[in-house]
Amino acid sequence: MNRRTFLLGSAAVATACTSAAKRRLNVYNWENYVAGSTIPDFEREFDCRVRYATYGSAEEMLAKVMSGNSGWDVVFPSNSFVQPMRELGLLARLDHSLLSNLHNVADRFQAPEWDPQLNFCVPYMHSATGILYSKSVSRLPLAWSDLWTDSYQRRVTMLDDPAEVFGACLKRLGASINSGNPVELRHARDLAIQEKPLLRAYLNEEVRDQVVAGDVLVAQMWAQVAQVAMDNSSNLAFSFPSEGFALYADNASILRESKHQQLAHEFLNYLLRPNVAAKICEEMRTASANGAARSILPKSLRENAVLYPPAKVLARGEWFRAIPAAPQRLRDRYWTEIKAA
Amino acid sequence: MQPLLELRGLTKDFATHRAIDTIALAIARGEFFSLLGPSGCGKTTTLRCIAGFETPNAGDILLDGRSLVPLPPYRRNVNTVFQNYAVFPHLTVQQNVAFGLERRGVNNGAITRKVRDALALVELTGKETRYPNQISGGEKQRVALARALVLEPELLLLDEPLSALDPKLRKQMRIELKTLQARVGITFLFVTHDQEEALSLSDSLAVMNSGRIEQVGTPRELYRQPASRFVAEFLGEINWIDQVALRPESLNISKNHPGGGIKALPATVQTTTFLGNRTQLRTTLANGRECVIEVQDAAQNIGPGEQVHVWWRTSDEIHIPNP
Amino acid sequence: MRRLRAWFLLPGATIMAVLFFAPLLIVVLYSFLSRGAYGGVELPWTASSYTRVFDSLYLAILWRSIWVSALSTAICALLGFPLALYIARAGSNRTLLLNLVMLPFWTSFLIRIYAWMFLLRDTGLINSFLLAVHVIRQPLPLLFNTGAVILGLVYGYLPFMVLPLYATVEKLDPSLLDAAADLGASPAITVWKVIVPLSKPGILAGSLLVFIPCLGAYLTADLMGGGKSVMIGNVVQNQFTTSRDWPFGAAISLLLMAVALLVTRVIGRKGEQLL
Repeated sequence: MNRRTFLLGSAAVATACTSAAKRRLNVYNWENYVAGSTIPDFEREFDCRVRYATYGSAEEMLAKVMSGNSGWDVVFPSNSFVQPMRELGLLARLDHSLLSNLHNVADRFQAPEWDPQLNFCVPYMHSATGILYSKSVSRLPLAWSDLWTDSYQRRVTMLDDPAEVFGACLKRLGASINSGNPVELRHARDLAIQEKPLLRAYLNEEVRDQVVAGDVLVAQMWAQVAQVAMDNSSNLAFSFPSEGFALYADNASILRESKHQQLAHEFLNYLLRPNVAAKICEEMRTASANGAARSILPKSLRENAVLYPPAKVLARGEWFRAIPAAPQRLRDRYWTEIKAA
Repeated sequence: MQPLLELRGLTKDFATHRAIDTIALAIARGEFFSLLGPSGCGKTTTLRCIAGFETPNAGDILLDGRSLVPLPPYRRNVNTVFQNYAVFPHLTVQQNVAFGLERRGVNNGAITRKVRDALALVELTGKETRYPNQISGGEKQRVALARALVLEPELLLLDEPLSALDPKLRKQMRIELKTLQARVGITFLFVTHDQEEALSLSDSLAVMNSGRIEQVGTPRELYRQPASRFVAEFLGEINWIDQVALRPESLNISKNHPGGGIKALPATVQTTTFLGNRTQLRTTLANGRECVIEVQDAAQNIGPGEQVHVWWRTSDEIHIPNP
Repeated sequence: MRRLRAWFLLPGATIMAVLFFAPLLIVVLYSFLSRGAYGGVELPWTASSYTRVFDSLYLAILWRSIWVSALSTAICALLGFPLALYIARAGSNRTLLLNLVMLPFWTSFLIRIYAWMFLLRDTGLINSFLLAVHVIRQPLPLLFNTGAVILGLVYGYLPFMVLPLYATVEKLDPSLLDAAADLGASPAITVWKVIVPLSKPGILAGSLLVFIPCLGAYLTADLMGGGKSVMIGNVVQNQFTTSRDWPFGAAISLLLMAVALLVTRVIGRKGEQLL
């Protein structure tokens, strides 16, 4: 055997060894939050394998992660979950030296109220809760109170989510969506019970098809889902209610249990690249918290008032917060009473 | 007198074969009539057609001159005692027997009285509140009988009712059935494959084979003058000697030739069997054919291997047209 | 020999212990703990979850779930019985028909419910057809009410009624049916007076197999009911998701289990009486 053959041989063996011991990353995200090429591109560039799975609710993710040995590295908690997950010791402190693209985050999200120093999360996508409606209705639902009038032949739906339903009712009362005040909550419950006979159903994003089809005329809906509906039908519009509405943002975080902290940081940094984030927005019609990405989006998306409401509208919005135990219990009970009414 | 039951040209086909082929039959009122034949001869199919569980493909069934064919089973004045009794397991003996009366809307007082009388008739008094899983096979059969008789049908069909009983019980029930029929006077149509049963019980009987009736008549007629080879061989034992047939009891046996110009055949005894009231000897004739003889006296100490002579009276000869 | 036979029980007993009794024990323990701030359980031990359960709000929901389940079970029995009879008499087509009854199980339950929603909603197939032939002028509210929930439950659980019923009816001695007809019973009377009483074991088994799952159903109630009418299963589901009150959810689950056991006992006793 000559030296050339030996070198080629050992190179082959070395490659085989490294690919057998390829770096792995486990990412647990909301559905529809990455483009088709986002993960494969990352795998190729960073020479690793990504296990990618999705969840439909933050509670589902929290329940899986709470045990402390879930097997996930990167998760995407909503803003109201960041604080609780911190308190439970689930989140890793971020090493900003590994996140060179952090400055791409939009100004609005550089110091969010749930993590002012961005020590535990990186804002990813954002949305709000408003009203998706058919333009053919005689009375445009521009305020929550419109949903309490009998103007839509009972073809109205609210989200099947206590926080959202209470949010709308509390806004009608002029209170905070995160209120723990028993009196305010009781009034909110009464309002919800009043509204129930006017509702077709409590439905989440599955109502989108029915709004597009015209079965449902007015639906309390998240902005991102509404955008997809409006892409499918020019007859639809979205309003940010005048009394106020809920804002939320999903953030990328690394779990403290993760054994791949380095790679996880690289992933977060990758997601912060403008072109990567922009691609996701264009394909999935989401609103990115990445300011640099927004600036390279096509005008129709960049200036889209539903995905990126102007400051005047945003001023009416309020971030969801984690509810303490006692008010949560009261809300649970009232929610059951509303559903059983 | 008009027969109670008439079958005219009755034919029934199943997917694979023809079960009964243009059957004609007449049964007189008050008769104990049997349908006798081997399994698959069509006797049960005939019974089921009369009861209404099968619809014939051709022909007619007349009860008292009226056609039964258009009527479903629950509208025919005919009742059945099934081979496996078909006693309702979820009802007591009382309720089983009352079932048919309740369907007729008979009032409760009359039902109680009639059920009591029917149970007394079959000697089941005292077992009214028992369930079928608490009584014996023979008792279940009596329930089936009582249940049918209480309705006083014009015709009672019995589908091999004794075949599931052990031999001793069977003999006993035979006598009881005969007495019962005489008492109530209802016409019985009894289906069986047991020729001894049919011969002992019936006023008249019909022998069936492969969907056809071979012969109808009294037991004595069928036994003494069988119309076909099949009937001859089915009812008891028969010997074929040259062109004639002879019953074992018609044959005489002796060591020596009887003499007197009587035609006698030499034979060799193979076995002798003592049957209590008679002795059966199986012999072989010169032409190699078997000959079975039955005699009443203890056959003069004739044992196996002995050479004997076999002879008979000409009047005992059975002549079968085209055997 | 008896000792050897006891060893054969070991695999089954182990599976039962690990997969059934151990989790059940955990649920019982949870029900006596307190809820964690963000889900999960923590000390101290308390029976407060149970006292909360015995509240008119939850008992009313439980009662509603019971009668919805009972009604669904009754409808399943009424629909399933003729179907089982038909299949039992179908001769060579029996296997095919049984397979058709089982066929829906090859598809995801969720997809089947969505299919129903597609059929029943205002712009769905049924309403569109009825509007097109001018039988109605406004779409009928076929979805998002208790009727739709019952429809979903009956649809989903009918096979569980048909199969045990079929098993019982198939074993019925056909000569009993002949005997009934012979004694003057019309086909309708034969069904009512002979077939139904003798099918009682199958009816009871089928009823249990339908009633118990219906009691705990939450998916069907949520989707077909539009989230407007809550069943006890939904309350339990909520405790483990949005409300994050696991001890309370555990307590309600155990209450539900107690109701199910009670019903099984009562029906089981009735079944024993028949045999």
